[in-house]
Amino acid sequence: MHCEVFGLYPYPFDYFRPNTLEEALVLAQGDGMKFLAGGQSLVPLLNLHVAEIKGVVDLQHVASALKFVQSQQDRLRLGALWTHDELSHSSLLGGRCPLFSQAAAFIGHPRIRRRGTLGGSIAHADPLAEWILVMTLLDPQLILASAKEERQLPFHDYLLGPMMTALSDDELITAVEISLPEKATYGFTEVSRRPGDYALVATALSVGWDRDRIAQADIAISGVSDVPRTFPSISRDMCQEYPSHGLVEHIKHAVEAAVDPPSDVLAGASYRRHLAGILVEKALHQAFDEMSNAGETAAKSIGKSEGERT
Amino acid sequence: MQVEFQFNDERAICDIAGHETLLAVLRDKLGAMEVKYGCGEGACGSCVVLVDGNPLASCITLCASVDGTDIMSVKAPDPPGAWALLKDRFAAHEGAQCGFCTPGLLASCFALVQRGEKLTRQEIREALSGHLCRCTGYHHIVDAVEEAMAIWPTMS
Amino acid sequence: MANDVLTPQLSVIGKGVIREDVRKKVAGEVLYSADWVMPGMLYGKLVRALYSHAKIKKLSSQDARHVPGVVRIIEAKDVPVNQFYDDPSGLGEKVAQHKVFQDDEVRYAGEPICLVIAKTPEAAEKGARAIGVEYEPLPSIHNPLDALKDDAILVHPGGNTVVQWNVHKGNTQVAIQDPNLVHISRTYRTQFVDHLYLEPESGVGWVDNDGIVTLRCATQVVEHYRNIARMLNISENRVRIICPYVGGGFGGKEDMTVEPYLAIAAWITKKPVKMVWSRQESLQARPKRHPFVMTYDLWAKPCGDVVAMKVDVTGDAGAYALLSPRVLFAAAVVATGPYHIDHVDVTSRAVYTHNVPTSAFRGFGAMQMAFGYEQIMEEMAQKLGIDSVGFRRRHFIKKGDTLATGEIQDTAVWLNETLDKVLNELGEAPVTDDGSKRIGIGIACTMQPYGRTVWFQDHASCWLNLESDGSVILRTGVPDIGGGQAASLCQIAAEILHVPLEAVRAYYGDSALTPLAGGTFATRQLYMSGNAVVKAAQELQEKIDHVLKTAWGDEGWQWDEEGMAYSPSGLRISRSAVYEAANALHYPLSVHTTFHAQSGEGYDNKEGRAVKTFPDFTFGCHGALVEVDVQTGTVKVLRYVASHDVGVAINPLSVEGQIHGGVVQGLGYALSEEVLYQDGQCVTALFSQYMAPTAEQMPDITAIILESHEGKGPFHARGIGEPAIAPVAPAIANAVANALGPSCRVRSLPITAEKIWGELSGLDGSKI
Ligand SMILES: Cc1cc2nc3c(=O)[nH]c(=O)nc-3n(C[C@H](O)[C@H](O)[C@H](O)COP(=O)(O)OP(=O)(O)OC[C@H]3O[C@@H](n4cnc5c(N)ncnc54)[C@H](O)[C@@H]3O)c2cc1C
Repeated sequence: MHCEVFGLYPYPFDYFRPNTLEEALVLAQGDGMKFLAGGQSLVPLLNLHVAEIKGVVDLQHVASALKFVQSQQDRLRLGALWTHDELSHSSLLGGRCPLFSQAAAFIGHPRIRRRGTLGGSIAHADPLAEWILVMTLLDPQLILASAKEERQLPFHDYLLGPMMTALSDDELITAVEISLPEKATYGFTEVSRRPGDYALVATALSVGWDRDRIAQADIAISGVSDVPRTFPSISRDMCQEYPSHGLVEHIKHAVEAAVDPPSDVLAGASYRRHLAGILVEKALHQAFDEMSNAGETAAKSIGKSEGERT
Repeated sequence: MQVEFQFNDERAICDIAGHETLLAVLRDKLGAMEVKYGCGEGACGSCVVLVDGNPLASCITLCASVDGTDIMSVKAPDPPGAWALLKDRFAAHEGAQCGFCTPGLLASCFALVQRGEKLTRQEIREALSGHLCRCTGYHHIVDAVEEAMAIWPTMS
Repeated sequence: MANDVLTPQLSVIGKGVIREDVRKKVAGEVLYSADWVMPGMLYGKLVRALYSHAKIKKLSSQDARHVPGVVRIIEAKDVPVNQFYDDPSGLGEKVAQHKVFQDDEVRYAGEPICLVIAKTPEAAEKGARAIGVEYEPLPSIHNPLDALKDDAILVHPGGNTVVQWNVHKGNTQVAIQDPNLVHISRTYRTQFVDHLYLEPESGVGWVDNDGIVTLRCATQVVEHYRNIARMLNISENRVRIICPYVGGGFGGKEDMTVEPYLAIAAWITKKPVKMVWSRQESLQARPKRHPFVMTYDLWAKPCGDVVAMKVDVTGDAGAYALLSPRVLFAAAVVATGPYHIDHVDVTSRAVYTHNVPTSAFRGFGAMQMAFGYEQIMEEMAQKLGIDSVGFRRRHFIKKGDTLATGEIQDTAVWLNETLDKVLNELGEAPVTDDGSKRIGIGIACTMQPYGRTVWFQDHASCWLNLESDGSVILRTGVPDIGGGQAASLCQIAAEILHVPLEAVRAYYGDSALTPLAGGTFATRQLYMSGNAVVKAAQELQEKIDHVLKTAWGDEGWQWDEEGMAYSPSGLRISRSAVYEAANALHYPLSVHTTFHAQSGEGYDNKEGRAVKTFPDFTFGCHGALVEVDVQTGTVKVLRYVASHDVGVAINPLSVEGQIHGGVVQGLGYALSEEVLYQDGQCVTALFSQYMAPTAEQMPDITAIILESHEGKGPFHARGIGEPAIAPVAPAIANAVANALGPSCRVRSLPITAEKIWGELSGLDGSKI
């Protein structure tokens, strides 16, 4: 044994660029094959010789087929090949879920956001990745396709551990299907060691509204356990409440009490716990502010259209 | 396998294997030594080139995947255009010291300037956050880019 | 000395001229060390140790030999002399340094064990992976303070102390008896950091037509050819090192990196061999900056007069001495900072551990100390309840003062001047109405030596010629590591020879063909080679004047802007005509000269005194305005001002660049950078795990250049390469402490958000 021999370039493997999804899935059945989406996680690993493979199936020609948004009343289906950058333009999602643009802004730097994809990030399953946190929060159905079958898997059954998933080698994530409350606002906050880096601790939350009352809420936090986790019972405390300072304090303290973060070289347990509390507080404020802003804009636009009518 | 792309306005036809990165091919097959290996992780920005006008880290781009594209480095022929402008402003402000990060950095700057972007100093800093420079402290780089952005509309 | 040339009207010096090397670099036209290609070139990959302390039981290369493309495995037994020796303190003590290949006892994770040579880089890597090493792991020691204990595991048989330096002034023991004195004692800690230049360690080695082992590689020291000759057991005139433009050094290419491996590989295979260290290998195993533990004791009268200072410094040398003795010496010399104190006791020591070796890094021991002395001064002022700026001013050393080492400061000390500028520019701290934010302001005043210690008998040579077309060739062994080393020498030559800058061409960095100038380190090149070029240019100018007088008779020649000589009687002569005339006179217009630095006796370590340590110091002051988020502990630098007296700015644009660069590297050091090890294993070996500053979180920097005209370099310049980094960490530490309020201070680097939060929550942030 000796130190890892970190390389400059990858070891040899083959390259395939199928023109159709079907072809791609057939190719993926081969031994040691990997899909190549943005390459922003896969190729670094290959350069460093952390991963060794037989071949890649480049998805660039099938990408356009996997860039779609299908919006139904309470559901949103997003193609897996959207790039982080594309998802950061919330107009793409028709304003349905601004959480995507909030989260995307925290991923890496411009070059990575332009290239890396939602599906790639979900498949890579870095526990500190922004999309893994967002998926933990929204718990979508992942639409998985292989040459043999197409199946749906809820995200909570998909993520098995840090960089471990229930995805088979030949399976492609084609889309994520999210159920969205009719009216919801979101918060996303993060502290990293340097802007654009993976989070030390990050929080994503959603608040569903019944007029100005909280109908439903979900909270997810990364960096306090091996993979991001949710807080169902704390979230339930918010239901039927009105946003208030007291509520924020309550949730913050409940979260601080509930997390049991690890200590590692990057940060100690107490600091991670503290961040979890602070970030939940900030994220709640974002979600509440967005609600009151939305209220104001709605009021304004009503006023305006009425004005036009007269 | 054979790939074909435009490199700095010349047709490049290369026999490559699937695993070869764009960085490896540009340097070892096309002799484009201005494209630098700095980290192999897509993090430092020294290997950045423009692929169809977009800055990409060539060290984490497979060459096979750029088949049919138009690729440019800082050595692209440039009838006095944005490259020349940037080079001139970088030299005038000493936006380079050791110069190792510079070709990659200029590729990202080129994309910004040619798009006609006019950014504040902080926006320039954010736009260049994927490039590490260890010598200049960035200040002179921002000076150069800011000036190039101001001059470009009068040239184009 | 050669700097009596303070001519009133300078034409090139002091101008922000555009560096020609920068023009080439922005055009992508410079071929760095890794860009060199030769026919039939092979590639090398090192196999490095896995353990931080272990016996090597067996090395099996059988499998590696069978990897397709592998040409040769080179091991310890293949190297004529497998061990490097030198005298790092310069006081005549020979120290066994590292081996070329470790074949017995591994002392740090990453230590080279053998080298695989192959036809492609991938084959070399595969080969390296196929090498089998059998180890017997041994207990290891990673904390330098533990390594000092009596029963500590020994890293080397002679004991774990590499060196201990003492500085004594006055009589501390007696002085501190006064019961009215206020005394504080504080410990400050610094971390491992990496140079992280963008160009990885790289080069190509070959044996040339005449059997000369030739290395074209990234280095700060072409004189390493001598070490290579010793390793190969061949004569020094059979090794040549060529140093093209280097993609950043900062001290990290001062010790050898690829050199011995390229040399042994080319020597054995007789083929050109290229080696490029991967970034991760570099982060893992190449020498780092010394972590220091500094304990300061300071005694002052209640009125605010400092009476005595005691400093105890322990630097982690890692597994091999490398330049640790010199680094800890610089630390000892500046331990009291730029302050006049009557009674001083300093002890600084370097200690072996099983950590990665530490060695040179911009600031070289002196900059770690600034994190100590600029905080203890601040803390004492706070304790005394007096203004810390006034407290500093009261103790600033002045020209003519005796420093702690007993030497006299014989050039201008513009501490007050730089401090005034910084305070003025920084202004008052703005108030914020955001309850979660606090603003703080902090300053630091520092001194940093330039040039080597005087007992190294430092010298630099150069060779200057006038060519037949009137152009000028300057040959100098200077490695140009990006600071414009060659360009500023051209400026100096052009100034003195009255020629346009474009007329001077520098050939640099070749140990065989350019006169040796010493390495580019210790902020010595402008001082040393600058003075050498001044001397050569003056001599050449005298020769030119002599030819003019002899050939054309007139006296009192002057030079116009085109570089033509004209005489009072109306003659106008070109330089090429001068060249022809000189030829006819059998009078070559060529000067080879050597500049010798001020030299002196070795340091008296027993008495802790010297007549002289370093030739001179550069002084300066930095100030920072920061915003601390009290909820998360994160810091934002809102404004940064840096002022230095550089004597004379040869190229103000380059001086500004050095200051900007030093500040940002210093901000990384202060706030985010750290190479983390767990039991000697690097856990931040990826580039993306190492938190060097990007443009996004860095502020604009106001650099204020002052010129006292009293440096010891050419035209009275002082060095600025290293001095710009020293004040940053303490300025930030003081600003953060100012923001946090009384009794909150992070005394360990980097000042992370977590440590700040710890301080705010009443924990000891420095221990986090
Ligand atoms: C310098 C740097 C900084 C970064 N910082 C961040 C950060 O702060 N936060 C963050 O979240 N990420 C960060 N990333 C990672 C980045 O977001 C990647 O883009 C992302 O993790 C992977 O997406 P990709 O499309 O590039 O996937 P690829 O690299 O192409 O693939 C990654 C893995 O997923 C598999 N895969 C890809 N697509 C699919 C699919 N549709 N179905 C099944 N399997 C698939 C591949 O086979 C491979 O195993 C950073 C990357 C770099 C280089």
